[in-house]
Amino acid sequence: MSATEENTNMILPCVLVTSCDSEFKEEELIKQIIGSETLPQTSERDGTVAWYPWTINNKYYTADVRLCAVPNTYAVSSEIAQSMQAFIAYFDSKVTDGLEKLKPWIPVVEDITPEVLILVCDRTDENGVTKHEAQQWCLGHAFELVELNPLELPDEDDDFPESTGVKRIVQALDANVWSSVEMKEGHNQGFGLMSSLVASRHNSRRCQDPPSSSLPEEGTLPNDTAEQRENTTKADRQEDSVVDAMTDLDIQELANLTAGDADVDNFERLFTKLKEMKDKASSLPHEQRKVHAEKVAKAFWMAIGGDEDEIDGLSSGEES
Amino acid sequence: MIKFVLMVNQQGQTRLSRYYEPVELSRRAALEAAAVRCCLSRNKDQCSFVEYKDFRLVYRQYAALYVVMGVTHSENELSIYELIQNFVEVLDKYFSRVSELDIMFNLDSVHVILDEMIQNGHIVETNKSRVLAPLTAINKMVDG
Repeated sequence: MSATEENTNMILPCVLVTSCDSEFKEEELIKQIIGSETLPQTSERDGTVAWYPWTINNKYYTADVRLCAVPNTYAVSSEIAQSMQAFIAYFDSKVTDGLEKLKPWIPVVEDITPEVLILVCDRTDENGVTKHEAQQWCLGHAFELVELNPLELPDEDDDFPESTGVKRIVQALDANVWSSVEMKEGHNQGFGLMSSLVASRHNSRRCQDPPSSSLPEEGTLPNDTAEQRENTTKADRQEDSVVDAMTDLDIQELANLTAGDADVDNFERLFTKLKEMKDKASSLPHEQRKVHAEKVAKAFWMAIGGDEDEIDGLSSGEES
Repeated sequence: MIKFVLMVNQQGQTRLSRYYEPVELSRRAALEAAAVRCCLSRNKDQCSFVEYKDFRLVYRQYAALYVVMGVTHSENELSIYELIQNFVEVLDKYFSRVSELDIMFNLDSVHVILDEMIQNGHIVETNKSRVLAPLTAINKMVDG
């Protein structure tokens, strides 16, 4: 068990924090990012490199990452190189050659190309590294400049005020999709258009697989997977009948929903059901989709009290 | 006419792009990078309208995000400047305080909003409630 735990630990993404200012320790910045007075227990210490566990938690996801204090480029191990997804560098802005000390890091960063690149200093200095210089440097290397204590605070009357300091660093770390990301449920403000697109893509890929692959709708109906798996072991031609059985079940439910009193609740559930059936259809292969659509359309016609004669004989051959 | 709409963060990463005239996929990255560089390199006191190649860029910064629109010379840049503000206000209304994260994780909704406001490179709707009507209807249906 401990072996697997170590394994998962190995692949946790890392946020590399380095300081090119001997007066400023990496740990100082890590403390501020984590937002605690004291540093957490290092999960690991490897020579001059220290690892600190941290969980990014926001409205959409949680992600376990490791903040990794690395004093210089020589300390970059292959493990760091493989897991580095963000790079934060502090430099001394009071001396004119402050940015020079970052030079050794450039090839490392260009080689690994982490998603998040942040250049940090206390505040840009007219007599040291000016804001313009720092910004030009950032533009050239696709970094974002963050001043921990900027001279000019952003206008608070602004409807969309800029964040500064550590708050901005955390925000930038938030706005990244980490490899260890775990999406939260129930915060999906979208209407699942993307997810259904993804589903249909997955499906078309699966269709190219050999016929031994599982039922097309597997995964879209988690509750039924056990039943489906059982069926896949049987003959291939049974697939169709299983899909049909599921559809019939859905239609049965549709009918039940409309059989009762025509109240608002029932009507809303009817639409939810239709949406579910539509989602399911989107993951079916083309031919089955047509048959499915026909069934749903007929069932809906019946459900809203349409005349059966109207749709009788419209079937594309199959009995409805 | 509007040629394209971009949303980029301060690192220059594109969060949203929408083109209203054909631009090859392979050329988009370079075009976006160049346009973004052009906007990011300017300070806050400089004008939000920039001449760029044979067209014009209109941009606004909202916290760490930039909205950049490429427009032809026949387009009214002030109306585009206001369109950007309106677009961001619609997003803010829909997400109740929009952030970069909202845009990243609800790109489908952002595109629906944009498509309600701009069609074929022209502004077609500016009323916030009407822009949001289709999304509100869809969400109501999904939530049941």
